[in-house]
Amino acid sequence: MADNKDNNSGVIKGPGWILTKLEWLINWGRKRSPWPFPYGTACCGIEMMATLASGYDMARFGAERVSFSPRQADILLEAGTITKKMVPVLRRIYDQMAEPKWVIAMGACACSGGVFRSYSTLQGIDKVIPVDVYIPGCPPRPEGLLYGLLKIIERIEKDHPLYKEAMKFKESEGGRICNF
Amino acid sequence: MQLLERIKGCLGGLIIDISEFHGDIAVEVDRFKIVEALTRLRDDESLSMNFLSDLFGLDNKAFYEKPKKKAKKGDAEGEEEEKPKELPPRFEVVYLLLSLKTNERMMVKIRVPEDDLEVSSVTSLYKAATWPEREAFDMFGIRFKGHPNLKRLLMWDDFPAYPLRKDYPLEGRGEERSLVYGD
Amino acid sequence: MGKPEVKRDYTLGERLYLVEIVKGLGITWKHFMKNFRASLQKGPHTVPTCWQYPWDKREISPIFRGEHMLLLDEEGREKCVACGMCQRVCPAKCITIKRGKVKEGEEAKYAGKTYCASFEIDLLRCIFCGLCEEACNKGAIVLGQGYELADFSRQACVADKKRLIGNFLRAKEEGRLKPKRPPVPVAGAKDAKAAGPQKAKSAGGGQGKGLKRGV
Repeated sequence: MADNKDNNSGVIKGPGWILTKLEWLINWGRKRSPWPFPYGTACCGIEMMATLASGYDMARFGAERVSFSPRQADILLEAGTITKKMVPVLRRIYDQMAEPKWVIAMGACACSGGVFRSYSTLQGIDKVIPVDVYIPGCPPRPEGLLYGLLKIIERIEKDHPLYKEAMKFKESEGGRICNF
Repeated sequence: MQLLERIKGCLGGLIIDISEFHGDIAVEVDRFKIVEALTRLRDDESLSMNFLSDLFGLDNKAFYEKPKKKAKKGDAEGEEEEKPKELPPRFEVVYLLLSLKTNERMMVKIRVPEDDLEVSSVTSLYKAATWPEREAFDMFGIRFKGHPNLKRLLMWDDFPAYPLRKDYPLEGRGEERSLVYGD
Repeated sequence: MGKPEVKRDYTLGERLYLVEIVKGLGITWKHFMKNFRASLQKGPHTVPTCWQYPWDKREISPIFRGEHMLLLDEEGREKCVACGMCQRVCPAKCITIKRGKVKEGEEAKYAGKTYCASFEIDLLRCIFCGLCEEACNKGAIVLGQGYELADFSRQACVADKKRLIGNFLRAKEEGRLKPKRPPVPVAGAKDAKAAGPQKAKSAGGGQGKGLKRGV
């Protein structure tokens, strides 16, 4: 217990074997079920529906259930223009989503405002919420959206959920008694 | 032609200006008598303009400023320089009316000067005017006296400017920085 | 004005109601069998059951407007002269060009007297309308077929000159270049006469005919 008091001695020296296997399991579960929250506010929403429907069938990648409640969603699929009056709603929905969450900004309007350089349009949703994947296009093809989803899955695969939490814990004050 | 005569007969002395362009009749009336004019148009047996299809504001600032610049360039025409000094009032409110009985349309407009932006509301005549009047208030700052719930329709409540005025920059002045996100 | 009245009597089959249900079920069964048979086939599916996207990519139209490319001419010189027409016409204002003058000894690299020192397209702003392609005098910028553009950051979505020329080279290798568009006849008789006697004739014959002869 004596060396545990020393903060710099390093309780965690990189993810070990058990941690890696556990992380693999968690990532495997997460990447096979990225449930999207459809936030279609404009014409990109129509293309999103085409992707979700049987022709392109987003459910092949685990986006089986389109979650209309932010509590059960993993991915915020933002498709369409966001006006400045809509910003608090978007922010609130993002805040309501449970923690492992990712954001796709689909289409020119959501990514950067597109042609609408006007007083009423938000110039890119990354001004209010962090965005993981940007999909250019006006609107993007369904393939483009699926490619974006695959990029998210790629990011989930490389994630270290447990190790990150452990590092956070180590950095915090309670980290001194952490030894796994 | 027939409609024009009927309108003239109905409104009579209220008409300031009346014009017809491609079959569209536009009547200009005094801004203090708009309620009276619309009441007459609605209740008249032969016209019965009982449907307000739209109501909107207009800003003519850029439209009026153009002849000024031209006058500066052409110094030879001294006579025309004096005319644009007396500009007509800057704002307009336009009422588009439709008669469901005879399927005829017409346009009534009033001019509102910049220093006194108050117009009496027509919500007592047409219930449909509530939202368009709120929109005109939101975008141009024209206040409608007697409106039951005059607040901003499209922009958020704390928005400080009137965005469709011609002196407002197209990309905004960055008002969203003061937006409060949720709680 | 009212509901249209049906004058005829309903037939026995219609009154029985069962026949129509069986007919409807037949259509359902027909579609099911069509898709079922198609799913048994191997290879890329011709009947749209479900496009198996990352593995089986769908053929898209040759005039699809995707990611841009900067063209090189036959001698491998850059066509773009950085006139800035595309920059000006762009409705989203997503193109930024820096112009450079061609120095001596660089003529083998660039086709014109000037060239673009940097050519950046912000793909996030771009709405893929194709106006830059229409405005370009030299035919230097063309919208290609690429649609897999998603990326993790804003910086990665800015296509620079290297990427745009790379797009062209890749498209040329795969034979995905656009078919050449026929020149559009100029509307208005006066312009047509000025352009030449042949076009004047075709313009006189009507716009539709003029288009065909112009090719």
